[in-house]
Parts: sequence; structure tokens; C-alpha cells
Amino acid sequence: MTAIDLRQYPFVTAALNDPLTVKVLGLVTPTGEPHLAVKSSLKMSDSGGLKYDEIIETSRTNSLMLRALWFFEKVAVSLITTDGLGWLLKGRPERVVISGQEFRRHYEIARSNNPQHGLGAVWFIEIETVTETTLEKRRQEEEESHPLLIHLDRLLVNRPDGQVVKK
Amino acid sequence: MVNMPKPKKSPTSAPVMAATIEPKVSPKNSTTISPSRAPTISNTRAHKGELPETQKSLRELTELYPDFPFKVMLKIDVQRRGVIYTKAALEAVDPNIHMTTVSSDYYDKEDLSPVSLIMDDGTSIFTEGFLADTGLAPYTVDFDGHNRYLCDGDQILAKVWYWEKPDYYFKKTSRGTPMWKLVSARPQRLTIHPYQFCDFWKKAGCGCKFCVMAANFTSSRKEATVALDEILETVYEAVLEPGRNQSIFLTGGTIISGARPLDDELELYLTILKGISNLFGGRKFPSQLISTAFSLDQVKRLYYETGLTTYTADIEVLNQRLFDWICPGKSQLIGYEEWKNRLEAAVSVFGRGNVNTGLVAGVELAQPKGFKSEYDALEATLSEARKLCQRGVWVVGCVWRILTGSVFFRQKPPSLEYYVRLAKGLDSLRREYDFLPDQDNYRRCGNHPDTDLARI
Repeated sequence: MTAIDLRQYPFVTAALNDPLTVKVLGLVTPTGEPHLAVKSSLKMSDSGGLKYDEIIETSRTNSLMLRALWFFEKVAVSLITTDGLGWLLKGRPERVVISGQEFRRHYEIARSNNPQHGLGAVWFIEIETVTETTLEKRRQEEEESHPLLIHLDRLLVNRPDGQVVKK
Repeated sequence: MVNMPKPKKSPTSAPVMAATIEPKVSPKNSTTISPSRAPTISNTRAHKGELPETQKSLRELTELYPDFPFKVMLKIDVQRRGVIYTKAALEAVDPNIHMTTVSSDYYDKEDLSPVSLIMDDGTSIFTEGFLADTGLAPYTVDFDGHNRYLCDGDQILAKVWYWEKPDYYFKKTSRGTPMWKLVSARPQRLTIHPYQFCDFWKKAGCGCKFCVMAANFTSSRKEATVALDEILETVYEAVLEPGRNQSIFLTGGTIISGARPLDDELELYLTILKGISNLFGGRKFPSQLISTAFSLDQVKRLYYETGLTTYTADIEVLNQRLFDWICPGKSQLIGYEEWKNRLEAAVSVFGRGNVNTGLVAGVELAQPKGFKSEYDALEATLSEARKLCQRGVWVVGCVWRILTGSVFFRQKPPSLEYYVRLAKGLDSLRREYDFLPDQDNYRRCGNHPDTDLARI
């Protein structure tokens, strides 16, 4: 599948740039168990994909990311902004950088953010699909495409005596 | 004995693994890729030849071993077969960014080809040294104007990057020596070779048969020993670079002399390690020494008088008869059983998990005295590795690169499948006996396919 350039999605760009956005990376273990990790360092890469700093070299997340890269598995990233907008991005690990000038730039930022921190790796993710998961948008979509999926109490208008139902 | 079931093809894996053979990334402007372009620099004398029909290809093996990472398999095969750089790939080298020079323990590489490669998963591929003509066609590194690719014939197999040079590399010591000549670099490690020759080569027939130290040292005209004050000056400068180094590594040839055998070798390492320890306030620091197998008293001095944290004495081949044949100097000075005893003794000092031994994996198949079948060689090697694990010593393997200038230069390499199974076997043993790979992991040494597997 062709990689998507996230720069074409201004709302996603804004969400990634907002430090208050909750950014969650989702992976699956070899036995099918879900694995989620909050990754505040998730940002847009220069090529319009994603990148993040992995502080813990021996973390389960780091290991599962490598497994996904080695065996061509997908990963997911969920973004939820403070004003309720949501995005689900799916793609594949593209590269992990463990040395060199790119690594050093991230290392120095990680150290300046927290002097207790080192840096294990910088991960790059190529995005293949972008889905808006904002609740209000999803609700409207369902209302339009599945009009029968609604509780009847929400449709009541009149009582048997003709009075209007209070809502 | 290690259980070695015959590999079975996974019916669900074929499409996935087949995809790994195809170019995952289409090179932009791919018409500029021309793997058939005549190479200008090669690290192998083999420019012709194909895989013997009896050996399975990379493609076949990715299907047979779907749980074995393609990138690690590719790394092994590149080391078996060698690599050549196209003109475009060489023009893409920027000596201000990439490592082109390196000082090993017996020669200095000073041409403008890349020292080595790293892939998108952080796996390093060591390509320095000159492979003998083993009849196997080498891989090619090519450049399309945007990216560098590892190719096999007209197939693009992986994106690769050249190792980047550290900050200290082109600086000079106060005496004017280029620092790269004193301390060499890997992507995350500093390497020091205090003694750049090996006493076993001073006596006819005593050098290890896979080693090229004698041939290259003589032609390189290097000094046998390196000035200690300059080493410390360089290490200090190198360690200043943020995020570059995770370990300091020392190794060199054997020095037999001293009040007791190997005492002079020990003193050389003690002096350097004490100096480096001072840079870290006298504390222990992430480090590894590969030396001749020292006695218990000698190992205690290393541990208690310096900041050294891990210890390695490479036994090279796990078979007494072959050790005596392939490593006659080590055999005569110490002996196979005593070598293992000394490794076990070192565990009592450095602690379990901090002592390992390395193999030049594949030399057990050298002829005429080596194993006749890969199956027997694998069984024997893994069985002996298990016994070492039971004694607290874990085992790592390097791919035997048959180098011009070694006694074994006319030998043939084992199959790729042999290395795949050996790497799996050593990784399984390490997991079974619960050894951490940290001492020799992918980003410190990076030359062991089995510890590449330890990453997941």
C-alpha cells in the first residue's frame, strides 16, 4: 500500500503538533495480545510519516516495533485532541535509527527534556490509512448509514393523549 | 544434545516471506539503478560464480524459516559472499559524514569506500576486509540518487545506509596523531587495539588458520603497540559526543611474555583500563575485553583494579581436535579444556552473564580435518555450547569470512542455512539459560547474528 503524506491532513498535523494531544501507539504481540503505549514524543517526520523517541531500549514496545518491521506487521496510532477530535492512523515501521546525526539530535532533545533520560531509538512509521475517529463525526456517519440502529425512546414525539413528549 | 528438527515450510508464511524478497521500497527514479555497473572497489576477489546447487538460496530459506528475520539472514549472506560498491554508490560517500577510514588490529583502511553498512532495522553489516575467491557472487551496493540499496543481481533487497563517522575521528592528539588511528568506532562502540600483532604468529605454524593478522600487519607497517597517553586522550574526546557510544571495547593479539605467561598482555590492558576508569571517576563502566584466556588471578586483577565490566576469551571453535588444528598457538599455550576452565573461573569474578566466548562460526567445517557434514558440525557445536552455558559462559558466533591472506583462504564457506540454524541454536541456548545479551548486543558489537535475534 502506498504511504500517505500526513502533511495533506491539516487537522492531523495540528493534532500531532499539539503537546496536549493524547498519542497512543498500538501493537499486537505474537500471541495476539494487544499492547498499547502512550508516546508523547510522536511527531510528523520530514517525509510526512510519523516518528517517535523510544526511551527504553528493552521495552516491550521497542521489541514489538522491531517485530513489526521484521515481519511486515501493521501498527496503529490513536490521536485524541483536547477538543475531542480523534484520528486513527495505521501503517508500518519504516526504520529505526540507533546511531548517527539524526539519533544525536533526538538524543539531545530527550536529554534536555529530562536529564535522567537517555535514548534507545528513534522510530519512523510509514502511514497507510488515516481515519477520523472524532465521536461526533462517527455518530453522524452512523445515523446516516444505519438509520435503524437507534433506541426507540429517542424517536418518541407524542404521548398517547397527544401531548408532546418532553425530552 | 540439542534437538534440531528439520525445518518445515509454513503454509501461511510463503506470501509474506516472498514479499521480503521483492523490493519493499521502490527506488525513486529506479531507472538509474544499474547493479550490473562495473564496480570500482570490491572487498572480494570473487566476481563470478553462483550458489552451489546443493545450497538453498536466500529466497528459499526465507520460506523455510519464516520466523527468522530476513534482514539478519541477509546480513549473514552478505558477510559470506562479500559486497561490491558501484561507481554511483561510491560517489554517494561523503567522507565528512560517513566512516571511510578505520584502524583495525592489524591494518588501517584509508580508501574512500564505506567502512560498513547499517539497515533500516539498525542491523549492522560488516564489510571491511578482503574476501578470498570462494566462488560465491558478491552482493552489490548501488545508489539511485536518493537512497542506497543492497542488491543481488537485478533484485533490490534492502535499503542500506553507510556508517556515520563520530566527531572525534578527524581530530588529532596533542602529538598530532589522527585519533581514528588510535581508537576505531562502530555505530555505538569505541574499539581499542593496544597490541596490533599476535605473538602466535612469531612462531611458524602457530597462528590461527582463519586469521589474517600476520599477512596484513606486515604489509601495513603499523607499530605493534599504541601510545597509551594518546589512547586516553582520544577516548576522552570520543566520549564527549552525546549519544554516540554505549561501550568501550579492547582487544588485540596475544602477548605471551611476562613473569607468568600472558602477564605482559595483562599489564597492557590494566594500564589502559585504569586510565579509562579514571575518566569515569574510578567507577565500573560499560566495557568489554577480548583477550587471551587469563588465569583466575589475572582475571581478578582485571576486575578489581579497573572499571571493566565484561570479559570474553574467544575459543573460536567448539571442538578439541579442531581447536588443536585451527588454533595451534592457543592450543599449545593454554589448551582447549583449560581455556574453558578459565572462562568458567572468570564467571566467578565477573558474574554470570558477563563472560562469554566467541566462535569463528563455520571453521569447524574447514577441510580436510573439519566436520564432513553441516548437520554433524551443528550438533557438535551446539552441544558443546550448551555445556559452556551450564558452566555460566554464553556463546556468540561471527560469520567466518574467508579472507585473503589467511591459511584458510582456499576453503569454502558453509551454507547460509548452516548459519541460520546456528544463530537460532545459540539464541535459543542464551534464552534457555537466561543470559542477557547486553554484553555483546546488536548495537555494541553488531557482528553476531545470534544476538541480533535477541532483540525480540
